[in-house]
Amino acid sequence: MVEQTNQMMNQDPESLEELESGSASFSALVQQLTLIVGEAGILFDADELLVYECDGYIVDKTAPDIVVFPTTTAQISAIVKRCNQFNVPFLARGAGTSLSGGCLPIGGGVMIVLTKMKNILEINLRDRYAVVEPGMVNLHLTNALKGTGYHYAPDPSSQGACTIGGNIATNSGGPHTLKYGVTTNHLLGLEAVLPDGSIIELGGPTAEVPGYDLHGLYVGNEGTFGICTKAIVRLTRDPESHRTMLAIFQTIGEATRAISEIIAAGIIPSALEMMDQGIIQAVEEAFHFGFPLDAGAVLLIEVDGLEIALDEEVRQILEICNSCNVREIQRADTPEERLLIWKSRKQAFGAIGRLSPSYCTQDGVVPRTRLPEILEFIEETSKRYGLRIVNVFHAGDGNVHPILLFDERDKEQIQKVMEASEAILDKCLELGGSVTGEHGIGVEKINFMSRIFNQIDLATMETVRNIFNPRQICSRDKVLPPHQTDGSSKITQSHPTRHAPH
Amino acid sequence: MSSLHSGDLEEFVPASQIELSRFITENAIAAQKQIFPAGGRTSFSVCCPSSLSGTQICTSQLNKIIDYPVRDMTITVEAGMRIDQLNEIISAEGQRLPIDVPQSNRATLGGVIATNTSGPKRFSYGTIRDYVIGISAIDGKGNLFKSGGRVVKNVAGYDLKKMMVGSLGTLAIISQVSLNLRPKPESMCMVWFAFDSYVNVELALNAMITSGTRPTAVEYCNSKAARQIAAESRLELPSEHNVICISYEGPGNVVKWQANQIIEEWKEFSPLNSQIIEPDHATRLYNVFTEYQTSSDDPVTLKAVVLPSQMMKFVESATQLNIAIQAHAADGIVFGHLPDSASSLEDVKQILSQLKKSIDHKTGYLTVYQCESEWSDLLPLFCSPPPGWSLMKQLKNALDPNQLLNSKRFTELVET
Amino acid sequence: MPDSSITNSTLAPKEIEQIPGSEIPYEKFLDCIHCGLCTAACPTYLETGNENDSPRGRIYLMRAVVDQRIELSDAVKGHLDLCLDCRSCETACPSGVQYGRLIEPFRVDVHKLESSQGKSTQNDWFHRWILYRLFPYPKRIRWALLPARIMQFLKIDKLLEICRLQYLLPQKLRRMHNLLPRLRPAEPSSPEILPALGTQRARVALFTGCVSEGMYSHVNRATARVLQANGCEVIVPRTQTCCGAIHYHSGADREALEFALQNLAAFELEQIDAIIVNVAGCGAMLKDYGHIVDEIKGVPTEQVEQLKQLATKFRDVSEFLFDLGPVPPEGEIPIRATYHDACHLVHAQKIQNQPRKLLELIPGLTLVPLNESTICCGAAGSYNLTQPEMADQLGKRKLENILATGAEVVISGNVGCTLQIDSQLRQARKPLYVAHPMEILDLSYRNQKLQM
Repeated sequence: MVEQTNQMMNQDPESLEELESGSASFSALVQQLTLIVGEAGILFDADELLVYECDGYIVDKTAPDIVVFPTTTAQISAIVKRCNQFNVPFLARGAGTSLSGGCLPIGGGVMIVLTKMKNILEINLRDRYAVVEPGMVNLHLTNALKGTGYHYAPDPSSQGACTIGGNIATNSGGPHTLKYGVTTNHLLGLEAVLPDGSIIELGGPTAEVPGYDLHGLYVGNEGTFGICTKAIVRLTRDPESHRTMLAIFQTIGEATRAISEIIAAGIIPSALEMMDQGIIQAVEEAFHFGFPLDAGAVLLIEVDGLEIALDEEVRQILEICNSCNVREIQRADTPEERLLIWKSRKQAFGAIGRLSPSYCTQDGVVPRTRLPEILEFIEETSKRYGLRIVNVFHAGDGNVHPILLFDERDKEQIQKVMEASEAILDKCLELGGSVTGEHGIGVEKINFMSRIFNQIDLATMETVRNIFNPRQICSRDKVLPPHQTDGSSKITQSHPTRHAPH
Repeated sequence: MSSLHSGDLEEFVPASQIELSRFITENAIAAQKQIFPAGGRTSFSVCCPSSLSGTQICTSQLNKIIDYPVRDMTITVEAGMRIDQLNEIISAEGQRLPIDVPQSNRATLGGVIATNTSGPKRFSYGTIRDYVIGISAIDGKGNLFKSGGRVVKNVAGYDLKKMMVGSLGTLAIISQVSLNLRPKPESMCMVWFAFDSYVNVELALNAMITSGTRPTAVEYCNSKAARQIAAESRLELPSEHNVICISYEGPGNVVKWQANQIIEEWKEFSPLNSQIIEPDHATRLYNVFTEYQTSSDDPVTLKAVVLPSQMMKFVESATQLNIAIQAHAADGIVFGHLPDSASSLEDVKQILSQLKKSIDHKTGYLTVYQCESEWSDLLPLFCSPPPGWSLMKQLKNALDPNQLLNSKRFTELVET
Repeated sequence: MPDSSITNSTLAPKEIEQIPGSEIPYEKFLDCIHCGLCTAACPTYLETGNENDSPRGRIYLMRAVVDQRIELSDAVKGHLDLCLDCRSCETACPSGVQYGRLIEPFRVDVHKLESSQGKSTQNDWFHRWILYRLFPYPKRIRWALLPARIMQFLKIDKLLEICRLQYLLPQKLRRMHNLLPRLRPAEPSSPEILPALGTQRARVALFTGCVSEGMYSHVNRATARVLQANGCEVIVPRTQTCCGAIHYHSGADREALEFALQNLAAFELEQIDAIIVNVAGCGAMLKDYGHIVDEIKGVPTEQVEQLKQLATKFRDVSEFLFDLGPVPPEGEIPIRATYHDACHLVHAQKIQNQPRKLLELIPGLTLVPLNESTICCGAAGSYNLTQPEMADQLGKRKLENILATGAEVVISGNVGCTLQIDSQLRQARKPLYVAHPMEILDLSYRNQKLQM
């Protein structure tokens, strides 16, 4: 795997310098960078670089040559300028929870780890924004806001660990995106160090700024437009109350119909999570929540808002579920009961761990009403390849996360998992969807880009990228497929992902 | 207006985005004429300078529905579709695009995106950037590119949709758009408050951040604007003072509860008057608020974007200059219609430079929102360069290297 | 089996005994899917921001050592040593990785390897005399503390501090001196059997511990009284001994096994409903006896079975009382208190709500939430003495969070945390009282006031 990545790097004759440990330029760069961040802020011992060779995506691995821990924007700018002088690639890393290899240092070089820049610089409730450093852990911001009546809305499943800077790079979503939107809907402005080392500000704390929406363009760049050093985020009012329900359906079709009917009735639930029969059985085997094993789908429905509105919303939801032949509904009336219901969703992954040594989570999107079709297709695929595949996902957005179970020590199974994943994602495209709803393209899905977009689309994206990152010195070979001189340099996956929960 | 019809302005009405793409490509190779995208022309006079010479692209024929999977609550339409037409189609299915667009009988979807038009509801629903899930556009070389797709959640590729927001036809011509839709609310109502002092207005707005209610819009207007709005809405409303008008949407009982609740909460700020506008009248009043930003016969309308906490300071200065002010108060977005007395370009420039002083240049912006077309050449739209201005120029050069798309306006966008 | 696709090592092949962690079932490494959700739950990572100091990073390092991708260099060992073993990562992990069952046996291997090479940390004076000879024995601790008691009584300790004479002590002893709380007079030793008050509802044994009995005997007495007040007959076997955690965690697994066997002999399992523990660190170790015997080589099958049986009997006092259904205390204790989650309660034993629910029963007591309550205070057994810098950083972090609550009393169910938090408060000259939940409950049952 490592060799392949290196091979891929060597294709470009004008490629950036590859550092060789022990070489003169290596020592000189280490020395220069140490001047910037101090001895405690740099790693270059191979043993200590190993943990930085991959993030939440472990198929491809490449360790950086140097890791630095800057504490200020000025330091980052200085580091980036040195990298340019030495013609060495660099990229930023937050918590390293990317599921698509966003933090893979292709070609080695300098990794700029932002975990020491994690302060809240300003909280302004009157103007509904907060200014934070990029290494701030998503959940820590919401924790800091406790008691103010406000929170930061995007809450990816990894919110306890992932950073705001990383969220901006990947435009992270989460279970509450159906109602509250994703990162781009909550980012007002940012400061960034561009790949040439210059510092820019885009957007600002005001509701909008004149001109092109550049901070919007910046979100989701997967680290290729530079390094975000400061984020101005919108704060969202806490809902007054919640109601949580668990609805058990006989078939996926009925559950999907219920979702559409609920939304058509004018109710946008704050969360709409679906578990299919496979996962119900897994959860039941492991934890005995009391789900009927022959149920086709379980929906976790949560609504939030003003207390006065919720009982009526719940009544309507129950009525709709009934009209869709719901078998059973459990309601949570106390915070403890709410936690218990969420527990069944959150422990789903622990349950899978008990079923199988390895698993791979995919990330596809289809229009909401096509859910029965994609789930049926996934079931067929499961049978065709003789793989167990279970589904637990954000149904309200049509964002499916099929989980393919396998044993990573069985090479034949690995091949099947790769083929099955590809078949499922192709089907998502066929149904009018996308191959990634929240994990990003990174290096993982780079081959899909030319199936989603035509040459002109890709060329336009490249034009835009080149404005920020003309030399591809910053997080190279991500998002857009590298120009290929021959077929051999194409990234091929040798190993399926063992992905984290979503 | 005369120059608009000057002899060397041609019009091209493409029947499809492919046809448009071909036209632009040919123009880029051969004639290299200036291209002016035009939708409903509601912002045309200010967005495209008066000395037009080139080809006006009229998108009126690009008005087809491409795909409307009703139950997915997304729609894909061509960008020349009028907002009223769009609303009619989706309203029939109980859905809406929660963006307030003035002159919606003329305004087109592409125009709304290019001008980043928004209204009172932006406080709770956001702006057009939050609803565009896919876009197709044609750059200055004629390349028809797309970004996004037709599903509500999608992070494949760079978000080129966003750079088209607020691009004023200078970057690419928007040809097709996919939108995320929302269900229509059951009902709405408004609450009209009158205050005799700026201090009380500020206190009330400040209290809004912890209110037990969840308004969809919080509108402020000074007495000059309040009089016009009251008159236009044909409602008996006290309009001699500062007015804050709040709207609520949702089920009837919830809306009613909130209206009463806010009146209760705001008693401590001693409003001169507080009045609930019941649903049937509320819709009419709301529409007046939506239209007000473009309704003036006055020569110049300005728009200021400031932090909500700084807004009343700006409003005070503007009111002293006899400007009629309407503001999306919780967002710090202010529209001001300059008085008739500002009859010369010099007057206008002087007012603008005076107002600039009451804006913190780090966190506030003053722009010309509407003006007489003969002035648009002479008035930069942005009174200061926005953040990222140098990148904007690079983007413009990259997507339109021959400087063919409404390029004069772009070069004159910022006061130097 | 090590993953052969990754093992493309350039290192010379080694004898299996020379590779630490090679006996750990490889599946336990594979359980980690490298998602990184544990990182921000890790106190050391929060402080350093270095992935090598995170649970995911440490697992990666250990696995790389096992796969022979890297050597156990000083740098690598340093990152593993910095681990507090607080198990906060286990709470955060969605995949159920048993981190403790990776780092603990790995460390045992490292220590063994080092002692075989004659460079073990266990051979230094501190480990030999203080950790191994003093700590396990409450009586020795008590004797050792006698001079300190006299000094505190005569205020000589203050004089020393003023003259900065404590700086003449070796660093570790100085830290121990700094940790030393204001000592209370040692309680007379407890009778072996204490009767239940009212109707008898259970028969339990009390595990008294070493440091805890040596320094906080009043907490043990309070625990016994609370159990009595809840209708429990309490047996306090004299022959019980230290749980062996300090030894096990510093790699001395044979010694730890001997302690376990002595405890096995001390408690008559058939005659009791549970063995009650009031120190989180001991409780976690005792409950783990069943796993630990699997990791120690050469234990006879019969003893393995018996120790597994013993392990099932241990209950934290809060856990036990909550399940039993506590008798509501009536004495009013009008204080503003906050509760710190000891790692070995919340993470290792998953006990979080029970102590809070018990405290909420006390009339007049206001329990204020503590920010980052589940992040380690830096005590972590002997960590405070072996990793002083990190311990201080975490101590300060905890102190700031505590002071932000405005509480007068900090409550925590672990001796180590009590010592650490108390020491931080004294150094910052803040007059907060640090208590065990049972102390406060006991006062309420006895209708007495808290003397701060």
